[in-house]
Parts: sequence; structure tokens; C-alpha cells
Amino acid sequence: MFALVDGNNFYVSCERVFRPSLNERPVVVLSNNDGCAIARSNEAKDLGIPMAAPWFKIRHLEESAGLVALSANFVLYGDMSDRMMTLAAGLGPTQEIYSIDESFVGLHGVRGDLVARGRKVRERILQWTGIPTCIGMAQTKTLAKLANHIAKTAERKPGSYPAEFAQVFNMSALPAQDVDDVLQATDVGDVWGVGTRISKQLREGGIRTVLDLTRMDPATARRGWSVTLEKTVRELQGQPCIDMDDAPGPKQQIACTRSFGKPVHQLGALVEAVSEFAARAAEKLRKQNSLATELLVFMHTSPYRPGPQCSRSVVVPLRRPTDDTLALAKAAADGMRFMYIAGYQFIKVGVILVDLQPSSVQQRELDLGDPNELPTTRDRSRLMATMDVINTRFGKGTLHSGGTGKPGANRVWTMKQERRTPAYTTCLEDVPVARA
Amino acid sequence: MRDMGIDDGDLLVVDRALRAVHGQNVVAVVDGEFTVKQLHQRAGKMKLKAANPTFPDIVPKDGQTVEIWGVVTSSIKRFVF
Repeated sequence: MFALVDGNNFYVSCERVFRPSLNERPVVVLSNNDGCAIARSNEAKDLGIPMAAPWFKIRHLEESAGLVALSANFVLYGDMSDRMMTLAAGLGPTQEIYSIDESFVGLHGVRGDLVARGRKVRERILQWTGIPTCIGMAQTKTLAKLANHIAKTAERKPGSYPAEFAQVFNMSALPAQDVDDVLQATDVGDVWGVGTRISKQLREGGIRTVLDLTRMDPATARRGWSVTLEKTVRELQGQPCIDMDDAPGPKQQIACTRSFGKPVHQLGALVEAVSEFAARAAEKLRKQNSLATELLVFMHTSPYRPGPQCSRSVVVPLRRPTDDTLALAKAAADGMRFMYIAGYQFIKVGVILVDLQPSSVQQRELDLGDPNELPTTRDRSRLMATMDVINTRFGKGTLHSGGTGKPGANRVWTMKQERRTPAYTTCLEDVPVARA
Repeated sequence: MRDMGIDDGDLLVVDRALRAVHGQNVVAVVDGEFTVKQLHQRAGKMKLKAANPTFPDIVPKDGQTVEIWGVVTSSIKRFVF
């Protein structure tokens, strides 16, 4: 048995905990660079704002409908997520944190009324963190996700499903006929793993509801689509095929890329940016105990803005596999200098560390001594470890390589975040204020 | 607030996991803002008292609820900001 716990409109809910005046108002949270809506309150959804709506298309609603738009505050959302996940774990013996706002919880061996237990956990999360959640339970992960979707829809749209399914719904406790009714009432596109492309193909083949998909022969799913869809069909039929994954493997590539708040054409600023991104990627690299053997740097102009277009990338091989910030920042800077071309307004650059290997594997090489090359054989791993400890304790970027320039919002290339709320739970200067 | 042991500029530790009990200092949400009050709960009736008597008590009307955001468990006095 599996449960899927997820926060309702998670980013908006986090903001509302510390700014109750946002309750019951249309609120959206904007992506990096205040580009598009990545979270919407129910009131905002009722205004017809679709997911990923570009900001410039909906900003008129500020005046006309009292819409409040906030810049994404990932520091806050990450901390609130930690708290929510810790409490959600109380639902069962195993947990797989799937994303910032969703978690599977294994219910193996949990006895008693699962819905009652689910309600208690939901209530605790709401009381202790202020985040409203929905919980779906079923025999497989795919069905648990579906049950969660139904619990959410039953609450938000009265009449779509029986009212007792709202908030916490255990699909496995339902009689088979009732399950069929529920699957019949749900669109096939709402199934986990069935995206727009596949649901369009399924609909063309006459498969419109989840019940239709459940009745498909798994072999047909594999033949016509993929083994992934076959697993989905089997899971819908009640056969668990996807395990709890409580420790996802190390990433094969680590990227750090950003769009700029405004276009940048100066080499100096671009070198600063890629040095910073290389440093951030290096931190993630060390955290997963990997080394990089190659580094890719890319840059491009905006296809949406007028002016000449340019898109370039270069792969910089590293002399030996490394996780050293200084070596990676230098490689990124060298790559940028190599491919830079003046006269273009660049809107995005990025660094991707590729061909990663575990740091436990030490590769040696013949020292064919190039007299012109600076010796970089000195082991700086203690320096890196110290840097990580200091940056964790005192804040990101407390210690940084010189190539990244002076930190702060006055860098030419920082992203636009004009409406970000304070870091209420992680920064003492930002804690909320209460009056007498 | 002074009579409650809370002074202007104090840093409060607020616990949302505790269920507020009569006599405790709480952070409540009134008109969308955070406010620090003392909870009075008698015979099923609830009101929020300000420690400073020049501020009015907050008494929820019939059917209205005032949200208790959390219980103040400590107050840290700051002498240097």
C-alpha cells in the first residue's frame, strides 16, 4: 500500500502562512526573473489563470481583480518543505520525497483505519506548519497519485466526486464497482506518466477515461508506446511495479544555468556569471561525492527580443577528474573567453558538468610534465570542504572565488526578483513582526 | 505587553504545535496581521486580552473565529540590535 501526500498550491500556501492577509485572495508565485506563474491559489485559478501563464499576460489582473503576484522565495519553500516532509513521514514506515511538495509514504504493515490515520497526519501538518495537504492511498504508486488527485478535486470542485473523498481518500477501501465509477469519471490525462502527447494519442485510439486505460492489455501498451506505459497500465490494474525509492542515485550531470534580469553583452560580466555557476555546480558535485571530467559552457540570446541571434557552446575537457571549485571556475571562465563574441545581447548562460564519476575512483596519469603548465597537483580538497562548511553556516556565497565578482544585487547579471517576500524561517532579520 | 513579560523589540519563540490554553500568550491573526495577546478561555467563550489596558480586548462575534497562530513559549530580550 502506498500514500501520496502533497501540499495544496504549495508555494502560495507557504506565503500565506506568514502573510495571512493573502488568504482567500487570488495569488500567484512567479518563476525566476518574474517570468511566469508557477503557482496559483484557487482564487487565481478561478480567474482563469493557467499554469505557466506569462506575467505580462496576466498583470492587468492586479488592478482589475486584486491579483497579488510574488517572486519565488525558494529559501522559504525549501525550509517549509523539510518541515512538512518530516511530519508526512509519520504516516508510515518508509518515505520517498518525490518533489518539493510531494512525498510517497509506504504503508506496509500499517494497521487500523488508514483514512483516520491520514486525517490525523493531515491535521498535524496543517496545525504545525500551516500547510493544507491532500492524501491519496492505494495499492500502487500510480493509483495513490490518482487517489491524491481525486481527493484534491473532490475538495476543490464539490460535486465532481463524492464529498467523503475530499482531502484524504483511500481508493483501496472502495468496492470494485465504485472504483470503476471513479475511474470512469476521471480523464486519462490525469494519470501519472500520461502527458499531453500520450493522452492525445490515447484519445485518438478511443481511450478517454482512466477506466478505459485500465482495461488496456499491458502488452498493447508496450507495443504501441513503451515499457513505461505498460507499467502504468499494470499499476492501474493493481499490480505494483514501481518501488519506493528512498535514496535516488547520484546525478549523471549537474547543471547550473540562469536567465538574466536584463541582457548582458560585456565579457567581464559573463565570465563572472559562469564562474559563479561553476562554483554552485561544484558544491552540488561535492555533495554527491562525484568528480567531473568535462565541463560545458553555453550562452545564447533571446529569441523573443529583436536583434541578431547567437547561440554558442563549448566543451572544456578537464585535465583530470575534479570537484575543485577553483579548477572548475577557471575552466568555465576559459570556455567563456574562448567562445565570446562581441555585439550580442545575451540573455542566458549556463555551466553543465558532465561525464561524472564517483570520487572514490582515483584516476592516475603519466606525468609527462608540460613545463609551461602551472602545477595544480596540490590537493585542495580540505580547502573545498572548509569552504562548504563556512558557506553552509554563514550563507551561500560567504566565501567565493575572486572570479565571481562582488556578490549582491548590483551585479549586472542577477535575476529580477522584484516581489520576493522575506526568508521568514531561515533569516533572523526576516522573522515576522507581531504588534501589541 | 509589558505585564505579560514581553517588551517592544523582543524576539518571541512561537510554537504552532501546542494547543493554546487559558492564560498563555499567543500570536493571533487579527485583520490579516499578527498580534500578541493573552488568551482568555472561560465557559466556552474565548477572548484575546492585550496586556496594555489602553488596547481593546478582541472578542470574536458569533460565528466569527480568530485564528490562534501559535503559542509564545519564550521571549528573548535584545539589548543590542
